[in-house]
Amino acid sequence: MDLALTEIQTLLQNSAREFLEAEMPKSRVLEIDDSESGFAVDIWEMMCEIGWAGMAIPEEYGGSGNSFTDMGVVQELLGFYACPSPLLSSAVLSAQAILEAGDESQKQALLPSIASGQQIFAFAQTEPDYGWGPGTVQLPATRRNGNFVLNGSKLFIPDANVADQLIVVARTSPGETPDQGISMLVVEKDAPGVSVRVQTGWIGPKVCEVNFSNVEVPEANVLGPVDGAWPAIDKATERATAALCAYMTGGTQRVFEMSQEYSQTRIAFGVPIGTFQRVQDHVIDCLNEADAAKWSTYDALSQIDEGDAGAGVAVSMAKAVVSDGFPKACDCSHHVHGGIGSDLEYGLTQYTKRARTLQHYLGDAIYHKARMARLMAL
Amino acid sequence: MDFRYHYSDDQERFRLEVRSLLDLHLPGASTAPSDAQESTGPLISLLGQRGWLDSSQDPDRRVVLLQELERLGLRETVQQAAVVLNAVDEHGSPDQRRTFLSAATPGELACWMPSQSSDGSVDPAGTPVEVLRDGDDYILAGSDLFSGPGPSPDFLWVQAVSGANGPAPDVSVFLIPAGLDGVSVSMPRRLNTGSDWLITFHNVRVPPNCLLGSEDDGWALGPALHAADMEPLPPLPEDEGLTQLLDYAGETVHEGESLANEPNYQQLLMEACINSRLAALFRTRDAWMKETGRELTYHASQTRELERRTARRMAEIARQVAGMYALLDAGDPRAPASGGFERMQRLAVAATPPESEVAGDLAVIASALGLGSPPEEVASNSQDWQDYQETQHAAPEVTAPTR
Repeated sequence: MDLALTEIQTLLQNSAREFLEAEMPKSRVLEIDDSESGFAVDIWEMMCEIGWAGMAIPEEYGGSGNSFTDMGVVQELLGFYACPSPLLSSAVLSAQAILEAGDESQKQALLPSIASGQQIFAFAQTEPDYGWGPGTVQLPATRRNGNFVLNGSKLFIPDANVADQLIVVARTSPGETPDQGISMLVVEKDAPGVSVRVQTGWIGPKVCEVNFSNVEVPEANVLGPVDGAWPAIDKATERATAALCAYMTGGTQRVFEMSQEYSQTRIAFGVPIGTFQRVQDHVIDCLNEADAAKWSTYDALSQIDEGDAGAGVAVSMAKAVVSDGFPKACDCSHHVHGGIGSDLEYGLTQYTKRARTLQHYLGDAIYHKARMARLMAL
Repeated sequence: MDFRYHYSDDQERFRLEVRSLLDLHLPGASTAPSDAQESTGPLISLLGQRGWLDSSQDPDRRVVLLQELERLGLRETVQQAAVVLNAVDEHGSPDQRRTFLSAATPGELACWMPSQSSDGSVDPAGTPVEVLRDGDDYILAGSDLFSGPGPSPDFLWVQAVSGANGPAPDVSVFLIPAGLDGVSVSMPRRLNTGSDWLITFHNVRVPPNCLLGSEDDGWALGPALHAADMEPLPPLPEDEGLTQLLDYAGETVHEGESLANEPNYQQLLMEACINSRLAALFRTRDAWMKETGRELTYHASQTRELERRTARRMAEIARQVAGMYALLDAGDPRAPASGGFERMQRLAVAATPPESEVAGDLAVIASALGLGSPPEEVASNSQDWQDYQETQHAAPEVTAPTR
């Protein structure tokens, strides 16, 4: 039993906090969120220069081969500062998909540019019938003249608007079961027939609708076996989910700290509002959600690092915890803050918006509880 | 990070030793734990004989001992016995020390204390027992719920209100022989049969040598009384109630399909798994913090409160999954899990603490978070607030303390 961060992880934590404290004040987050792209090139370049884009990529493909717990430490701080970036989409989810399914030449060709940040990848899985199970993948990829042709839409795809390439999950045959007949294709975002629209609403990070109209994809761009990509997709999304949990954990922790600080300093009836038991209860609820998120997430990350057979269950458990806990902590925090909490400049809403968006991304609590049951072979 | 508790060979050997002792003295308890504690008296004595009641024993072995006792619902009883010994060691008179600490077998004397259901368990001044001075003696009157090892007590730890002045009335603590005239013990009909006893003091005359510590200074014994509360709970090797529930769902067919395959039940079962795992993770965290010398502030209270909620929710999920069967006790041949779900129902309700106890734990957490401190004592460090003040108009209804 050892729950302490390693020396390397502590160094990572300190340097990440220093960087984000300097570069990611709330005003900057709001500015990026308000921009059309939701993307700050300068921040992204600095993150890549530090090496964060290569953390989850082995050294032989240009990365630094860090552990998932190492990456979790950084993701937690990114979430703490509500930092918007394509790091999760590109350097974690897409990179893991390539690592899991790509052949050696594809890995050599694609991963170094992801690790350096020269290329940004987005992972396009979800569709109008939103969901994360294999049955929801319906976008057809039909064979024509040695190529695959895509026609249809992907919805709620983070970072597609700033990506150079898309990894598109498509159905190449009906399959006898939902998880059969699924393939992954690498598609240039600027390829003829691809169009991307940023979806609008109280949603963050930004997500996109990607439309494919007779988009031709060479067979060489297929990652992994045709019709048999689902196991790799499941593994890649599982690992990305653990990283996402860390991001959401950081957000939950920040929301707790904001609530704690505010209840200590906001005076009502001559005393800090933290003296009122109802307020205390809300702050304690935030703390409980933050601690539950933290320990379930690091449990999952460490199980991935150990190659533990139960890692999948632990990841889904963590996502179920944070998917419910992060929004709940935000709700409690709004109870503590009252009217000022809904002021965009104040900063709490940046977390509330992310909590409500990310609770669905890579599967909500209902999806992950069902996944747990499947993995536990109940 | 490593979330697994690695048990040493010595710990595993010790576990076998403890289990064989428990099997010998509480046969069948490990497979069908009872909520009656009538056989625990001799057991506590045996634990004392072996030096296992000493809370300063090897911490690795104590973890194992508490784990094994918890499986049988006896952890608190043993911790309570240790609390008495520690309190007497720290505050007792020479006579009391001779009686309790120099006994041939430490733990031989069954000493009962106010149970967790007592109004005085969190706030000693809330005890329904009063004491008056009568010459050199004291007169005790009132009644309270007690718990402890064995079918009957040798001694009673009585905390009584001895003065009514001020917001926190004076409290005195006595260790009295249970056989004093005017002490009556009865078994109230309660959901957790056998764990709590109603003891009534009919103007019981208590000699002065029964006073523990100083008169009106019972609050000083608070730390000793709550030592068990502050001790982190041991890591849980497995959650038997959860295992029973998953087994039941997997084996039970409803409308042609296993309950475990029905999506709604699956969600409930996974919620139970998550709750159980979180409780285990919080215990692991607390044990790790203690082991590595980190200061536990809100943590033990947070874990305890989480476990209370988890127990109630687990009972509810068992009802939802097993339906009417969850209410059948061990005496019914159709009872699932040997009546374990029924027991879960009763204990979850019986363990619902008075609001004062919940408030006590929440107050500990709030205090550790620095909530409720007067404004002048609060570091004005709310960066979010200050940032906002700098960039925005000051909200007129809010006053932020100055740095």
